[in-house]
Amino acid sequence: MANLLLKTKIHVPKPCPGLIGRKRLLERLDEGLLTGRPFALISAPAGYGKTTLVTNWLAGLDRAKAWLSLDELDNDPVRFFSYLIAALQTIDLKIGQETARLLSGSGLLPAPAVAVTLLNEILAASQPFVLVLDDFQEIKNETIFQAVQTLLDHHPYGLHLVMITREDPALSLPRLRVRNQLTEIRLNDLRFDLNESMDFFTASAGVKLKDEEVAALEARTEGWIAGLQLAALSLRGLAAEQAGQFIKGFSGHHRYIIDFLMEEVIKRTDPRIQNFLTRTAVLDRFNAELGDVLTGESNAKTIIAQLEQANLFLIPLDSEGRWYRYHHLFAQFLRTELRKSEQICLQQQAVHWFADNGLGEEGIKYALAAGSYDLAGDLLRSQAAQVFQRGEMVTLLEWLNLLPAEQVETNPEFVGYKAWSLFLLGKSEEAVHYLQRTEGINQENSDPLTAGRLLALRGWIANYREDPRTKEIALSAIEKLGGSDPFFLEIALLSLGHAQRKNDPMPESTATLYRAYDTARRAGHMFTGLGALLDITMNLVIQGERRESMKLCKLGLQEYADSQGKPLPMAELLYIPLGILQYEGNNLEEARDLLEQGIRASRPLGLNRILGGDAEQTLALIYWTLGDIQTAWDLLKEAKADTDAQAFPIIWDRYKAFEAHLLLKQGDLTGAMTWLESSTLTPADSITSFKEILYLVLARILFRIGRLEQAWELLNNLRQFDLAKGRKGRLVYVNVLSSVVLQAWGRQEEAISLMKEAVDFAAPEGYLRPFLGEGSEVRELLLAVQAAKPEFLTPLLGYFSDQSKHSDPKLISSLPASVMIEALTQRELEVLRLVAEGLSNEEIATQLYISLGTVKWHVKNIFGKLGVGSRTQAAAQARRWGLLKQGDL
Amino acid sequence: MEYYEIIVNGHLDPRRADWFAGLEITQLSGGKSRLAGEVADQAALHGILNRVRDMGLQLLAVKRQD
Repeated sequence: MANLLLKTKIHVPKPCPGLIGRKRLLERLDEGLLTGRPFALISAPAGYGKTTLVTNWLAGLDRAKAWLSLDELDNDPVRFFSYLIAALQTIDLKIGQETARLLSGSGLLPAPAVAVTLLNEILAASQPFVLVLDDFQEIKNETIFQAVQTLLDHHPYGLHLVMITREDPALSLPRLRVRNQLTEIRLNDLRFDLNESMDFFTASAGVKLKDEEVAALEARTEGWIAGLQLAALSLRGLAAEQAGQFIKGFSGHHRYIIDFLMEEVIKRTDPRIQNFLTRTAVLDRFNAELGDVLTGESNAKTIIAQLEQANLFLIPLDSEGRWYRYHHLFAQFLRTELRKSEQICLQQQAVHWFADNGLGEEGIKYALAAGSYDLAGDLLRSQAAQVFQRGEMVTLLEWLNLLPAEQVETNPEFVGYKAWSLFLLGKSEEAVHYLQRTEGINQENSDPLTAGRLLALRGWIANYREDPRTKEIALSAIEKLGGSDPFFLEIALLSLGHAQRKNDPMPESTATLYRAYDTARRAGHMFTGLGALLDITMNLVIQGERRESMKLCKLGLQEYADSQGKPLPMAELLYIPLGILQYEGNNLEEARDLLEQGIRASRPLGLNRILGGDAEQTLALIYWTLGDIQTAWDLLKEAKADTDAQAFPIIWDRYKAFEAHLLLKQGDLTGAMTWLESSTLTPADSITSFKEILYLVLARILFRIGRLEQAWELLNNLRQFDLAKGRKGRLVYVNVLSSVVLQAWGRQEEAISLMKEAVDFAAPEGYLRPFLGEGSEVRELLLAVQAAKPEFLTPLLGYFSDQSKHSDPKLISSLPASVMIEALTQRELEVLRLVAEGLSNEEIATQLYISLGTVKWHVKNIFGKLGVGSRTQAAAQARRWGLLKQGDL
Repeated sequence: MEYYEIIVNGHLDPRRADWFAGLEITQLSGGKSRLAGEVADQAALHGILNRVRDMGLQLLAVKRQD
């Protein structure tokens, strides 16, 4: 991917020689950096020297710097992030490596995951740095705004962000202002005052003018630097008298300054240069070769050198002197010099050059702008696969939308890209509609690969919409695709695996998901790979393969980790199955910590709802078992509030059933009955995978109200279901409960036989919770079978007497601190600096005139925010992030 | 289609009409220009306003004619 990036976009521009230093503004930027403000906003219209100011500031700054010049194409979040990473890697090759891995996989990724990962990587950067985003006014994409806002909210200490823009960005600027986190330089700061205008004309422009003449120019241009520069160019080489006349004429005119002055400048340039300027200006960037193509001559190199020397608003875009553009204002003037038809003709010539030189994507832009749709379509066909694989769906969709509808609809490949882009951009209805509408057109004339991709897409959407035809569609997609396109094969396999989980034996679903996982691993598709792994581990929990599942979770946490071995945010979701598995083994504290970590990881990724509430419910059970009943109910309440009952009715039903389960455990039979009456469940229903847990709750209630026969009937149904579908992890619960019911009914022998079966199964896999959570009756039954498996049952029976111990509400052991840092307050910074100097809490209290208790409180907060456990670590961390700067000065 | 009138500071060359989505450019007294005409929709209007911004023109008024 890296070799396809335009290096010109991340090139840090060279400072402009000869431009007057703008001390007051440079000092303001310095101050913002040194006082630790994370953000500087340079907001003013074109031609006020914003970029020049920042370039000159950077040149004198002893700190690493990264630059990204944005354009309208960067409204594709994937493209934006790719370039951002490329820019950051000019500082530290390690930054963004993991984020780039996440981006692989065709846009199938929640954007917050990218922002969070990148944030963590910036935090781990080896040195503090300045990041400049130039031309930010081009960005209109909400996802990108959110990502930038996330960066600012958590502002990583190493990062100082400078944003150059012609309009204020849609970020919460007032909040940043109030918190004193923002350095602002605006139009009124940027315009040249009279003194600066004087300096400019004497020092830079090489023109000797009278004071009142400069004053007239300054008044006419209102300190607009582009205007003053053009005026200086127009005045170049004029005698004093002519200069005076020119200034008088200019001041007396109302014409738009650029028009007036540019005409003056152009008038005096060689016609060959004029021709070159107007023709090359139709492109956003050009080089000498393109210059020759557009003028039909071979003098572009010489002309470019002349333009550079004459300082004619030519901006080099790299350090090799290869690519150039004109200053925006200048380019706009030049473009009005040509007729639209001439421009289109020139752009078409450029398209061929771009296509022949491996810059097809740039070619598409001009082909579409010029309305050359056949040419654009040809280029798109050759470029689309790459763009798609990079996941730049916004770009792809925009291109397809600019082509005539018929051209897209009759090309099955384009149809696939369009539907997939729509789906990923959250327009699933539109995607389905589009696929349906174009189905007939494309059936005959598509090859197996294209047909397979379309089917994979249909299957994925069907699965998402819980369409019963999912399996059938996914199967035919897999057949058509063969091994030809791993990404779509992964998509089809994942859909199939989900569909099989609903109706088929679990091992079949798991086998399909393993295939998806292997395919994704081989192709290096991280998102689909991790998704498959997560599904496999959750499947294995139900299948009763606790040990295998734990092994896979741990493997995944190692495989999807950064260079320091810390799992990536997405991979942290594996803490959820791991936590559930630890719970099954009655390792309650460990399970609790893992689940909390997993749930915390799932929130910023926006995935907490997709996982079906298993994590939250298990966690609530753990708190309940540990005796913290209040927290258990609070958790449940919170999780329910987070669940949209309308959108996810099944998850909602599971929460309601779980609530009844907890009520029953508390002995609130009436409460549990209320649930039962409001639900539509009956013991005779046929069981489905997702509702199994509901029926288990129903069986418990039936047992507690003494309807033993009905309870047994239902449990027997569940047993048959679990046996048929290979759900042994559930069967062990069913067995234990059945055994208790049968014993109460007086069917002792059957009860013991079922308990024995449960023990035989649970012992090698280490399942303890199914026995411990079902009531005291289980203990007697276990005692009856103890002789069979003493090595398993003796410790298990020990837990029954320990249950009371677990009821003590214990202090939650501290979790490893997340690397996401909250901002330190001004006071905390002061305290931190004194800590780093080696002062004791008492000494700090004396020095800052605050109480010892307050110092301790601050120190505790600082440790929390920095994620450290000692004063030495805090000092080291502070030094690493450059937090001690102010003290050093 | 909606009819809009935009006033900016500075006399604009009527040749620039192309760059303002074909709006008619009239030079007014006091060194102002009026851009007037039909605008396809709000997105088109914002495109024009962006152009005003990009040219460093000062925006004095935007008015919709009912």
